[in-house]
Amino acid sequence: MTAPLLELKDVSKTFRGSRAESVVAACSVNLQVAAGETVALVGESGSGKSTLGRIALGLLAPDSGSVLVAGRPLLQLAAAELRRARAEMQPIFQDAAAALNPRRSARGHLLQALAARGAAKEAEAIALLESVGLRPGHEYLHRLPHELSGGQRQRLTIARALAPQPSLIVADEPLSGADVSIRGQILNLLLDIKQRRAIAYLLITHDISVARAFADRVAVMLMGRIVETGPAERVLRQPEHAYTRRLLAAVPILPRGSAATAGALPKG
Amino acid sequence: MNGPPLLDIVDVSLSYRTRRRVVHALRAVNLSVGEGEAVGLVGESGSGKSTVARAVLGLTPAHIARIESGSIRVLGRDVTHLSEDGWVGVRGQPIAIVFQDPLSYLNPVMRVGRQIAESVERHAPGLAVDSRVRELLEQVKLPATCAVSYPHELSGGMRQRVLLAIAIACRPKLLIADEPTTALDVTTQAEILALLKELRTQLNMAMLLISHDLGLVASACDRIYVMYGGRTIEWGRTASIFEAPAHPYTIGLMHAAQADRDRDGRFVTIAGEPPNLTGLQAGCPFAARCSRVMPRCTELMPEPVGLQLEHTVRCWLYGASQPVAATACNGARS
Amino acid sequence: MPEFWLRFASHRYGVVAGFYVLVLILVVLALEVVPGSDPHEITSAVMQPPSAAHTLGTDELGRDVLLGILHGIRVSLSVGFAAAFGATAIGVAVGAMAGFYGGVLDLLFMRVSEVFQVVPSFILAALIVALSGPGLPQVVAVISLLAWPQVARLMRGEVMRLKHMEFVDAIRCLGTREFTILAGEIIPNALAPALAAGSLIVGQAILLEAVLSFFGLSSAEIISWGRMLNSGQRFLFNAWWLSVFPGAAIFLTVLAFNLLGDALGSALNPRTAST
Repeated sequence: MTAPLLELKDVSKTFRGSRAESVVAACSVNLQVAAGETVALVGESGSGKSTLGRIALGLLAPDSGSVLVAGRPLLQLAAAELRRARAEMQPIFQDAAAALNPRRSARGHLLQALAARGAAKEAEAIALLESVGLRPGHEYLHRLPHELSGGQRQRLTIARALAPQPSLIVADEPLSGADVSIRGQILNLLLDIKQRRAIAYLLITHDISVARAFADRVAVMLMGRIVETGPAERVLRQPEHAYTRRLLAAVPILPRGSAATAGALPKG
Repeated sequence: MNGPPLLDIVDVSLSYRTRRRVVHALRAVNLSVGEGEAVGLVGESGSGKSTVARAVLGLTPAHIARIESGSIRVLGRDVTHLSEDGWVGVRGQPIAIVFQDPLSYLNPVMRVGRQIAESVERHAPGLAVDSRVRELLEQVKLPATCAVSYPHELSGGMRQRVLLAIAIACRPKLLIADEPTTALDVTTQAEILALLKELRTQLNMAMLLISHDLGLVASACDRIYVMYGGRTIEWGRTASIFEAPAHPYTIGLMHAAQADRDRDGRFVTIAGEPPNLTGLQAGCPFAARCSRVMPRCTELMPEPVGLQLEHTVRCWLYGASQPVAATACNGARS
Repeated sequence: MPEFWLRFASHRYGVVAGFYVLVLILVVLALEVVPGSDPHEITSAVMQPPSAAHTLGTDELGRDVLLGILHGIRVSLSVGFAAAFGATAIGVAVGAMAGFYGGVLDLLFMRVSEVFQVVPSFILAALIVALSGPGLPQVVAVISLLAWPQVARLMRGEVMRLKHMEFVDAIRCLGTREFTILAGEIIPNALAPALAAGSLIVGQAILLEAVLSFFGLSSAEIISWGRMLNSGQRFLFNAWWLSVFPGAAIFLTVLAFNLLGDALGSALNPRTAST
């Protein structure tokens, strides 16, 4: 049995705040993402899911436990190997504006990311821009982040994440910053990427409908612990844990009539 | 439901004018809220929904915002061009407002009990303040011990309840809630919504709930207005809008909200980006993104058409067969 | 780049100040090239008020005041720019590292900068000059030493704000080294307030040099505005022109650099758009 792409083994992390207060962000968390799989990590604010995402990316060292990438512990790798392993996992963040260097053009961002696999060429950058829907690519090359709309910025961060040809993308609330009407576009983009490139996702979100739409497996997090995990279908339809049930019940459901689906379907 | 509506926005056009450009935030917007009603206003960035909330209480930036035409009436009284002093008689009572991010709207160096007390003192001077503050905390389901806490010591949900307590201290007839739960977790959101419902019944208070979340608005409101690009494009009873949404934008929004997929498994989306509101564009603001666009759409803004009783849409797909005269109390008739 | 100039041009006072500084620089260059009159030249026209022959008057040794002022520009500008450059260079480096690496380095920085902030600047300057002798390099060194904490503080604050932003994390995920991240991503975005402070330091430096000269702590052979004030103070009521004109020169120049600093500060930020 091949090792999973990413494995968090017994990971714990506590933040010591001021006045001797400490926040347990993660407590003995076990999580696995297999190649090509989409795992949704669902939880509310303060659950520790973002912290877990950063630990998975190697941006934060856990207090105990280990992060294994393709079976090898991440933080014990030698420098050059670590860099290669890092390039295998790329992030997408919620706030696209904060995720981009305000002084760097789209071209600059992409060339920087492409350099990780030695392919820093403008033609590649243009191809990336077009693959995320920013067409024609050459028109977007020299734009600075503040010259792009919110949706375009998010697409740029996705393009940057794809540049090193990663096998895993850790997406932390990728849709929360976007307007409802563009969410579908970004979702389709992520779906395309998943299907065409067989990239695995660790999708961190508080939005159940995104998890429902996308995930193969779902892990529910509460106060630093994973309270339930399993195939998406099962967890979202027949939740076992009380918290999962509460979470699902709290999502407001639209009253729908048949006319809504039969009516004019706007093209995406 | 007799007499003038609590809030009546009639054909209001509002623009923000700076040295560099003009942004047409609202164009010919019609909206009304009757006594005890729960009305929802749905829209995204650039729709103008937040501007509506602020304009109603004169909170738009004074030197930049200008109401070009139309009028806003509160209980029959024209407040369109009110002076700062004049607004004192509108803000808090009869209209109170809560906003999205409670932390920004609470004084960080003042205990919350004191902040609620301030509201009480201003609107009911001479009343026994402490007991009223306790009463209010109880009404919003906060423990009385909260009164001595500072805002940063409370959770997001608790802070929002404090804002609600401040708002209802004045016993308002209308509560405007501008994205009240957007910054909150989904479980807290459900609690706040339940609280709002209870408060409404207890105080016979009307509510204007503004949100980008269709689901939220559907569960809490009797009537809904959908805004896009500064205009109201569809409005009516919640049930009727959800049963048979008419405007392509509304339909698209519903699909997006539920992450619906089409036959090929792709998510149903609305093409394009939210509109740019600088420059007066003729025609429907959604035309550039609409999959059913017709030549007429870019030339002329569609007139309101009544689809059924209490469901109106502005879209050329539904010809002007039954034009609805712009009445003051659209929907507030029993 | 052109946007920078557009933003800069929208600050009217900054533009005027910029021109003023440009004129000063041109004068300095012109004086190098054109064999002009010698400001040290002692004539017999002693203590003359402003007249046709001597536009701004003469001092007690018959030296022309206008020439003195023009030659004094060189001292002021060179001290100003050199000190500002030194302070900014030290400040940016120390502040960036303290802010980025934190820990012991940051603690050390805080304490050291506090020492420099607490010491009264003039006393320290006078002390150093008294110990090592008068001379422009000493003055520049003293001012740099006293002014770098201001720059460092601003730099540190900006770096601390930026290092938590997601774009820094995104670059880390590409395997970039920490120092490259600091130099390539963070510092360029953190420079704006520090550079603005740097231009204010020019003004402070000019002022401090003037004060030191005024108290006679600088070399008597070098003409500077402060020196002229030093000589002129005895004759304040008899020969007002000996104090007023150098004083005005100091005032205008320091003001100009302050305005320039303001304009630079906002022009350097890629996101500020003046409405």
